[in-house]
Order: sequence, then structure tokens, then C-alpha cells
Amino acid sequence: MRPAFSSARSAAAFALLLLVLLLLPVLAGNSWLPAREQSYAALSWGSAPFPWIRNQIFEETNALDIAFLGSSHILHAINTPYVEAKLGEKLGRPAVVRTLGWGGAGYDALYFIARDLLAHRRVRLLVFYDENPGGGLRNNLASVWFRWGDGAPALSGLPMTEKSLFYFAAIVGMPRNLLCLVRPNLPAPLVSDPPNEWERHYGSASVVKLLGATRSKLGFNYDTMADSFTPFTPFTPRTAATPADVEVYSPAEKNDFVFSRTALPAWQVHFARKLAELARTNGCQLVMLQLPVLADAPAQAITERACWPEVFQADLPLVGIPPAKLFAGLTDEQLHWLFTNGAHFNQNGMDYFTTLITPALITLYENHTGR
Amino acid sequence: MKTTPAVERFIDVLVALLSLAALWLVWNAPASYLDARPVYQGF
Repeated sequence: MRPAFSSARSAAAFALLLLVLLLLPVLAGNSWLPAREQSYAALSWGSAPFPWIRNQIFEETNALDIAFLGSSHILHAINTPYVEAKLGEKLGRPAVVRTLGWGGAGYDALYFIARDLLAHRRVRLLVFYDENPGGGLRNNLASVWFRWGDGAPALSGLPMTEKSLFYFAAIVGMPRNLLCLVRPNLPAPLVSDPPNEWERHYGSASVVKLLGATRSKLGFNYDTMADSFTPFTPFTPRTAATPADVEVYSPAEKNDFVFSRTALPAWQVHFARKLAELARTNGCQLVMLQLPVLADAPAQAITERACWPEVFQADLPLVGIPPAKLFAGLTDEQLHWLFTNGAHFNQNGMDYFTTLITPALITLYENHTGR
Repeated sequence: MKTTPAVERFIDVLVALLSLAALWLVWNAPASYLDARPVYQGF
């Protein structure tokens, strides 16, 4: 068999190359990383509304009354201008409400992006949802929002196999980070004509006008392997559901919350508690929102994977509405008019859900701010 | 470069260990970490 290397010198050169590549995140440390803003600037509208997220974290400076933060479910669930208008009416001053949402689940992404947000802006109420309802899904952009130089301390306490995942993500991200040092990315335009790729894909109005939300004008996609959306049917549900049906979990009161109490992966618990600690040190009230999915439509109970206030070890209001009340009286066809797939609302579902849930969120805001 | 058998053995072991470390990192990582497509492929 021919040897893998023609000489000891070429073998040594290969070993050196591997060594440098593997140690690059450690060698670069914090000093050979571009500004944190570049992690977001490197992403186009095709990746998710990251140009908007970059703008909100690194350019806007005013305090946020309510921030909706998380991956795609919340991005498609909350009509942000509606919440802002209603909160403004209640406060008697212009309110500031924004959605910062992206694609791909993960408590790790939620923590690291929340950390960037809270480092730059005051947030009074931060609303999120169970980032990993499907289990152990990982966010595919870890190599973008995680960098060893400024992220490693947040991994303290995680098992070695978990740390190695993040280290690997940091290795994958190093070429991009080094390139950003040499040639910084310019921010993508927030508004464009024709609309950007994201807005075109979802048939959504401008993400900027929607204050970060995506309002899909798409029908239901029955194809789980490809984007084959049926035509959009405008529909406003006429049900008996009212904002009074919204429940806030309290262990002391009777309510419809049911916790399955399956064991959560260690990394999800780790980042959930990191998020709670981050919010505490920044005077930010966390609120967890239960977002309904199509499969749960007949359910009388609000089912969660865990008793989240216990997992977060924090004062964490958990807000939801029993699906059977939310969707009462709707035919199967009408139910599908509210979603683009089993878990994401289109604009029909978004508008319907938002009007019901908003009063509870405003009450929680008032409780937190003492107004 | 003139090398002794001991040095050659050391380089071989180093190449093997580093290759194994790299392979383990790739093997251990979720496939999505290696998804280099610039556009998200739908939710």
C-alpha cells in the first residue's frame, strides 16, 4: 500500500494544519474576533430576519416595553403592531414592542441572542416559548451566534460532549469570523423594492412595518418535504373564545395546565437557567407563551413538556389558552385556514391568536412595571 | 528534512490523534452544523 504521505515533512505539515484548524477558536480568543455585530451582519434576509435583528440589537437604543424573542413559531404567531398599539393605548404613551425571531429552534440560540439584546437595550418584558417542543433539535446557525472567545464561559457546567458541539461550531465559524475581520459585512437594507427574499417567500408585508413579525399570506402546506403551499383563504374565526379564556399558570390555583414531566436534555435546562439568570441581572421579566399547534386542537388541557417555572427556577408566568376553547366550533377545513403547516400560524391564525392573548400580556406588563 | 525513526513515529502518531479528534468532532456534531446552504430551507 502506498504511504499516505510522501515524506515526513508532508506528514508534519498536515499535522500542523490540523492542529491550527482545531485550535483556531482558542488561538483567536477574544482579540481575533470581529465585533459581535458582525455575526448578525453576515446573515442575509434569506437566512431569517437577521438584518432586522441586527438593527434592533446594535442600532436602536431605546428601551423595549415588550420583546417577543425566539424561533419561527413565535415569529409567525404574534401580530406585533397590534400588541404595540394596545399597550400604547393602555399606557397613554407610545409603547415599544418588537419581535426578534429567527429560523430553527434551540434554547441555546435563545440565550445567546437574548444576551446580545440585553447587553444593548433595556427590555421590560421578554416573551418566549418552549423552543424545543419537538425534543432535541439543534439550531443550525450555532456557528454564527456562538463564538468560543466570548461564548465559552456560558458553557460552564455542561457535559464535555455538549461543550464539544459548541467548540466544533466555533471551528466551523472561524473562517467567516476571520474574513469579517479583514472585510466587515455591510448591513443588508431593511426595506427594499422588490421585497426581500424572506417577505417574498412568505407573502408577508414588510418585516420592518410588522416590527419584526412575519405575517404569512400562505395557505396550508400538506407536503412535509417541500414548500407546496395551498392558496391563502382570508378567514376570521367566529368562536366563543375570549381573552378571559387565557390562563396564567399558578401552582396555587386550579387551571388547565398539564405538564408531561419528561426528562429534558441537560443542555436545554442549562440554557433555560442561564436565560433566567440573564433576565434577573437585567431587571427583565420573562414570560413564557404556550403556542398552539394544529394537532392539539381538540385538547382541553394546555400541555407543556415541563413545569417551566420549576425548570427555570424563576418567577416565570406561563401563559396559554386551552386549544379546545381557542378552536371551538371550527371545522377541520377552517382550522387549516389558520396555519401554514402543523405548527406555524399564517396571518389568519396570527391575528386571531394575538387579539386573544394580548390583554393577558398587558396585564403581566403592568404587574411587572407596577403601573 | 532528515528525521530519525522516532521522530517519524511521533509525527505518525500526531497525525493519527489529530485526525481522530477532528473526526470525533464531526461525528459528534448535529448534521445541521454542517449545513452550509445560505438560505434557510423552510420551517
